[in-house]
Amino acid sequence: MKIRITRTGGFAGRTLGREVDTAKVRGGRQIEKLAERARRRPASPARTPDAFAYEIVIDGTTYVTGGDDPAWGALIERLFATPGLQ
Amino acid sequence: MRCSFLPPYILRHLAERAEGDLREHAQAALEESAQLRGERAVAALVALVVPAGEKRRTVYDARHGRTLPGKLVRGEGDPRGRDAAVNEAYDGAGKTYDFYQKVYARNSIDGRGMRLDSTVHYGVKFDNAQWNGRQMIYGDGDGELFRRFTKSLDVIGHELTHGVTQYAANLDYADQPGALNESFSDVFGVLVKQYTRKQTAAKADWLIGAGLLTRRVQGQAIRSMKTPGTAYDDPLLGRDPQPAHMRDYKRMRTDNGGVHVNSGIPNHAFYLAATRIGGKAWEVAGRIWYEVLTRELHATALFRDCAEATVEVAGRLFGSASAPRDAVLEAWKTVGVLG
Repeated sequence: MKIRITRTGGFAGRTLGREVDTAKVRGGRQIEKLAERARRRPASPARTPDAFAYEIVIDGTTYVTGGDDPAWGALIERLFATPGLQ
Repeated sequence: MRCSFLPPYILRHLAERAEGDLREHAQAALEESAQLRGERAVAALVALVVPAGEKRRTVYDARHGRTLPGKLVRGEGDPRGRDAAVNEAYDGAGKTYDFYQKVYARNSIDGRGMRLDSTVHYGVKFDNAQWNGRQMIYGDGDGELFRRFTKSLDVIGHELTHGVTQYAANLDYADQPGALNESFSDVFGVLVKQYTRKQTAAKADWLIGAGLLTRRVQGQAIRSMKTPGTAYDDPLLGRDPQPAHMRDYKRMRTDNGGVHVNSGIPNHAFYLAATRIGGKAWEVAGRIWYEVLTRELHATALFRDCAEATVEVAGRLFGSASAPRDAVLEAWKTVGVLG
């Protein structure tokens, strides 16, 4: 599974990106499970001031979310916590 | 306006929802009609809508989770504790409340004494501060680039002002209205800091988020109203992307259309107007911007609408041939919003 995540917005307005091929990273199976769980949930962008906006592409499908949903939030936290990703 | 002819339910609506004079008239009329008719019900109504004029603050600790608001750790009047983030959130909310109350006679975020709720230690190494429509949320920062977000008083003023905007112009959080929403938060955030420090426009640093970046970062703050685009330039953090002129307006898909980027243009206009007027920025320039935010703008206002409204309000408050009006007009011309 290939996942690309881009975070924009936030108080500092700073853009942050990560790309992961779950076949090539440690804990890849766990990330796949989190992604499968998240994509069953509705993804909706946050329009509240200074909230982060996340664009997540999972195997070619794009989701835009504010990360408020716990399932999306868990995936986002895991992706940014995965070491060695650029 | 002769509010006393209006029925109580309309007065009540006005007293609750309207801004400034209109609201005061409605409240006075409600009181008057209560006294005249000796109606207990109306008197009770007045007690409900007339704000107490007291600040009420609560601080919660999310304990690195994402459940809001978290555990209550400090209420109004409670003594200081050991947690710096809690103390900063509490003190910063107090200073922001005092600023709005003393300078613009505004009773809290909604003008009706709304309680100021803050949650600290939100998430793990969370690099953000935000207003979620009901409360302020502060992260601890990652420690490598960002320190805790309660560290800067102007950040706290910025977040609280998002609340004020929500109850005033309620500017859409995208594109030009969104950049205006951001800019009003920076303007009043920086004014809270200047007011607290008793600083003149000439002495102030005009920086947003000074003290937020760690020593490792090559930069002095997150944004500069004096020279947008120069706040930081760092290998890891990148370079401050803010424009200071309309010709450099950035059309972008991300960041809700670049609300944190293009806010540099109206930010710089405020800086130019305030420094040209001189003295304490909250007294004249701030007064004009406050009137515009609370009375003149609608949710889809563009830069040009804001610029025209500030010029008009400056003329109304200080005279059509006054120095403040000239300064405001000149400022918007310099940033390329007015021709």
